[in-house]
Amino acid sequence: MTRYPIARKAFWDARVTAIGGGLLSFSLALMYVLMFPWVQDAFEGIELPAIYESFGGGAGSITEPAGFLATEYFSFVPLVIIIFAVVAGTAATAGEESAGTLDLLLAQPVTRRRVVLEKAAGLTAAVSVAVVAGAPGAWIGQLIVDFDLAPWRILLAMVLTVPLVLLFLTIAMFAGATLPNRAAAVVLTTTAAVAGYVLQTLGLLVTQLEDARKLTPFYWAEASEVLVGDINPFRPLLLLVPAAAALILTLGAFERRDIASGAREVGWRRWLPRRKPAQAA
Amino acid sequence: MSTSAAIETRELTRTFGDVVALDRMSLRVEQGEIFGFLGPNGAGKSTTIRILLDLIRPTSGSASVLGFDCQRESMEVRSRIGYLPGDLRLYGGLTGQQTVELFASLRNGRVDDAYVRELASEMELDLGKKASTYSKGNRQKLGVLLALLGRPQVLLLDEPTSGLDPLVQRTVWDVLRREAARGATVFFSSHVMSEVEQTCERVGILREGRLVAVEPVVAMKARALRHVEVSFAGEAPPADPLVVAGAKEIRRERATLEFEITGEIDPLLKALAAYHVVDLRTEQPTLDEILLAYYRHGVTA
Repeated sequence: MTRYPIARKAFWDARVTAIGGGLLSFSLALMYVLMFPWVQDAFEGIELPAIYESFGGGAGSITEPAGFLATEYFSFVPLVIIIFAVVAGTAATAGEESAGTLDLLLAQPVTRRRVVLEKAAGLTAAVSVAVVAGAPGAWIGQLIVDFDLAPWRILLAMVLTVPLVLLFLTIAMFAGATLPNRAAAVVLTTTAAVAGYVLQTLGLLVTQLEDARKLTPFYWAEASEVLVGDINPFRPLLLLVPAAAALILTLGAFERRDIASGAREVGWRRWLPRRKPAQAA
Repeated sequence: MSTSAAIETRELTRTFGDVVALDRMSLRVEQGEIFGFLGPNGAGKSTTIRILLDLIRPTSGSASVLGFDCQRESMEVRSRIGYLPGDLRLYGGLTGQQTVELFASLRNGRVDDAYVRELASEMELDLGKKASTYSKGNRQKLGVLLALLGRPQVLLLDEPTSGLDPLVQRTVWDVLRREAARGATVFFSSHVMSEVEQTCERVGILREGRLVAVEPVVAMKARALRHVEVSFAGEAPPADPLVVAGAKEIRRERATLEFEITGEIDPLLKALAAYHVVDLRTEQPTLDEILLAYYRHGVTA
C-alpha cells in the first residue's frame, strides 16, 4: 500500500514546476555567479544610480557578491517561481475539477480535507525543490569564479524564500477552490503577485511608498539581510502565518462547495443575474 | 430487526438557482436489488447519484446508504460504494495499473489483487497501457474495474454502458450481474431500455426532478396500454359489451375490431367468448413506449 498517494501524485503532477522551476533557478544562479567578475570589473569605481543600489536592499552594491545576487537573482527569480506555483496551486482542485477527474477521486473513501492537505504537501515539496535548486547552481559557479559569499548564506536565503512562494501557492489553491474556473484563479493570483512585486520595487525607489512595501509579502521575504547581515528567520517565516490562513480557508471553501460533474469550464456569466427566456410568440 | 435499505431518500430536494433538479424525491432501494433509474437528460438522475456520494449537497431532505447518512456519514457511505461516473475521466498520464494502485491506496489497500487481475482478464483490459491511449470502451472497462475495486456493497453506475458497442456492453453487464448475484446492490441510471428490461427488477422513473413511478418492470409492462385486434367470422359485434370489459374501441371494419386495453386482457377474452372469433392479435408495448409515455405525460399511456 502506498502512503500519501494523493501527495505523491500532486508532486508528480507538479513535476513541470519542480523540474522547470528548478532548472530555471539553477541555471540563473549559475549564470549570475559566473557573470559576477565581469560586472565587478565593469562597474568598479563607478558611482551607480541609486536605483541599482536600492534593488539590492541592504545587501550593498552590485559590485559586491551579496548585493549582486540580491539585485539580480532574488529580485526576480522568486516571482517566476511564484508564477509556476500559482499554476500548480490552481491545478490542485480547480484543475482536477475542470479535467473531470475530481468527482471520481472524491467518490472514494477520502475526506476533502485529506485531499487538500495531501495536495498542499505534494505541491510544497515541488515548489521547494524549484526554489532551493538555485543554491547548487550558485555553488558550482563559486567553484569556477571568485564569488566570496558563504555558501550556507546562499542556501539559507533560498530556503527563506520558500514561505513567500508557499503563500502564493496557498492563495492560488484558495482561489481555485472558490472561483468559478481555473483560468480566473490563475489570473487573479498572478495579478496579486505581480502587484505585490511592483509595489515592493517602487517602494525601493519612491520614498512615499516606502512604508507601503510592508503590505507586500515580498518585503517580508527580502533576502538581503540573510546574505550579508544578522539572520532573522522570523521575518520570512512570518509569511507562513497568512499561508496557513489561506490553506485553512481553502479547506473551508472546498469542504462546503459542490463538485462539478465531468469536465467543465464555467464562464463568468454564471455570476451574472439570470434573465428569463423570452416567451415564444 | 428490519434491515437497512441499500439506498433511501426522503423528500430529497436540490435546486440550482431557479432550477429544481430534484423535487421531494422519496425512494427506497432494497439490498441486493438491481434498480434502474430512468429519465431523460436533466431529469435529476445524476444529481441523485452525486448527492448519495456527497459530491453535492441537498437543498432539503435526506439520503442514506445502508443506513448511513450521505452527508453526515459520508466516509462510511463511500467506503461501501463503488461509483462509475457518467462522464468518466481518468488520469491520462497513469497506466491502468497505476490508476488501480492509486485508487486501491485510497481504500487503504483493502483490494484483492487476484480479483483485479481476474476482472481485467475477463474484460480483456490491458492494464499496462496509459489511460490516455485507451479507447472509450477500455476507459469504461477500467471505470467498472475501479468501481468494483473494494468489492462494494452498493454500486452506483451513471449510464454504465453509454457509448459502448454491444460486445463491451455485454461484457460489462456480465460482470455487474455477477456482482449482483454476490449480493451487491446495483443502482444505475440508463437510457438504454433494452438493458433495463433485461437486467432490472425494479425501475424508478424521473421526470423533471420528480419520481413519477417506482415499480417492477414486469408490473409496469403488464399495466401498460396494449393494442388488441380481433377478427370475427362474420360482421363485428357491437362494441358495448367489450367496452364494459375495459377495452376501448379505436377502429372498426366489417369483421375486425381494434381495441386499446390497459392491464390484463382476461376480461376482454371472457367477453369475446360469446362470439365466433377467428383471429386475435395483441401487441405488448415495448418498455421504450411505456417510458416515453411517462416522460411525456407522467402517467401510463
